[in-house]
Amino acid sequence: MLAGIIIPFILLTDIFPFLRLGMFAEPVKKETQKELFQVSYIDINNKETVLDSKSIGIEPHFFLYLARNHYYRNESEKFIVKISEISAQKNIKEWQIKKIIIPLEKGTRPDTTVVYRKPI
Amino acid sequence: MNKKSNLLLPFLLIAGTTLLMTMYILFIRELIYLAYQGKAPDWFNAIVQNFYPRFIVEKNRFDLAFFLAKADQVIIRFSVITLSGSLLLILYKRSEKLKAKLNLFWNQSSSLQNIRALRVLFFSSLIIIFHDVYFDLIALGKAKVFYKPILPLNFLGIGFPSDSIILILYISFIVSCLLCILNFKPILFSIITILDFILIQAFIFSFEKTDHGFVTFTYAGMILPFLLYEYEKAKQNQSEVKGWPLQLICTCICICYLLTGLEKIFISQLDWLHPDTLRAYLELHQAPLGLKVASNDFICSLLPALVLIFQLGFISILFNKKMKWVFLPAGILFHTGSYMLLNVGGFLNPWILGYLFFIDWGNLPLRKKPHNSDYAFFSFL
Repeated sequence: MLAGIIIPFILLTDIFPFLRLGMFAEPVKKETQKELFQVSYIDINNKETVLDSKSIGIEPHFFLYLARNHYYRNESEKFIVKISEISAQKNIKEWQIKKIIIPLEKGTRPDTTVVYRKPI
Repeated sequence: MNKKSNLLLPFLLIAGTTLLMTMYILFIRELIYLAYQGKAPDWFNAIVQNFYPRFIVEKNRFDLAFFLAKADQVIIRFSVITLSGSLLLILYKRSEKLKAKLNLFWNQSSSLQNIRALRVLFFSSLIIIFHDVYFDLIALGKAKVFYKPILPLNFLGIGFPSDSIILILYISFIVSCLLCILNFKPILFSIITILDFILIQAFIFSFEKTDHGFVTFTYAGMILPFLLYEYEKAKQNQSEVKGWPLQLICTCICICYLLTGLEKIFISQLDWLHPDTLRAYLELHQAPLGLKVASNDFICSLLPALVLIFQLGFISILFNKKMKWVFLPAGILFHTGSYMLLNVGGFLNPWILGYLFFIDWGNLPLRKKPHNSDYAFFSFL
């Protein structure tokens, strides 16, 4: 039992059900910007709508976490395919993932980039 | 000859650690450099993927030095643990005094009333903290395209459960908790409960996110059937309960706190004490009270120091029981503070509920009152 608790500490990883307890231990730099991800779709009337993650049963913070993980793994396409599978939206022409950088300094505007497009 | 063979294991451990450190410096560090560049051999990439799946994500965010530092950490931690373990083993083999102290530590007994109360409180707490898990699992089921089974589920080829299986898991969890509370075949149903508890957590964690909130409760639950077995034995013999499982539960909880403290020191060294570290976390989590604290230099300097003292000092409870009256209230403040400042956890934190193992419920002042209803309740169960 004690070995089970200590091994994740040594290997810096979880070996479920034994978990590494490295919460808040990583060095952090003062954030100057906040990073968000947004999924939107364009319908056949060219109307763009931002996807509400709750409409597909995913809490917003969890959705953001998944989007970020997929983006940094270069799996944005996979992410969009999965989203389109569980979304009930019809007549969609294109799916998009946008990365939004919000500077924490007051008076500066967010910078939005489309990081992935998937035409249907 | 006997003495020599007694010392063989610690010396083998020391020799093995030295060999590993040499290999790391000469070969393994270079392989990490190659993995970062995407040029490492497939077998090494497979090892990295298994032990550090976030590597592929994090290498986009951190530079090579960060990963080399992590690898250094593994080697340093392994060396520290094996060398101190070997040293303890040598001392244990050679010192009769240490042997006696360790035997005394593990052989402390506990009263039947205490274990009875612990059983009721633990399983009641489990119901409270997991009462809504059915709805959480159903909600996750809607997003099951993102299901990425963690190691035991992956290994056993278990997919995300259907709604009806979720219901069965939930009902069996609640029913087995209730049966444990009612003392109906508590050993059997405590095993079912903990397996259920672990399985449900495995499903929840298979969406790329781990919740550390239940960790102490999980470890306690894994040991609890042994405590209930000792309880049943003691009840038959009308004796005290052998306390080693309870000591082991308390030791596990203390080690959890120690490791969270050591993680901070190993990873961030004394930088963790710098007010900017806490400030960065507070600004990242955007809790209203946290943002107020972030603007105060004194509090941002004081809190990290108090947290480290708390996490590293919690283990002193094992050696001096009076220390629990310092560290248990401090723990309640720590977890409540984490929730208010960082939005982490909640007021009803399972880490706090884990403190019930440190209290001798059979020896509370209220027991001395013969008509006390709380005591009567536990006696009935």
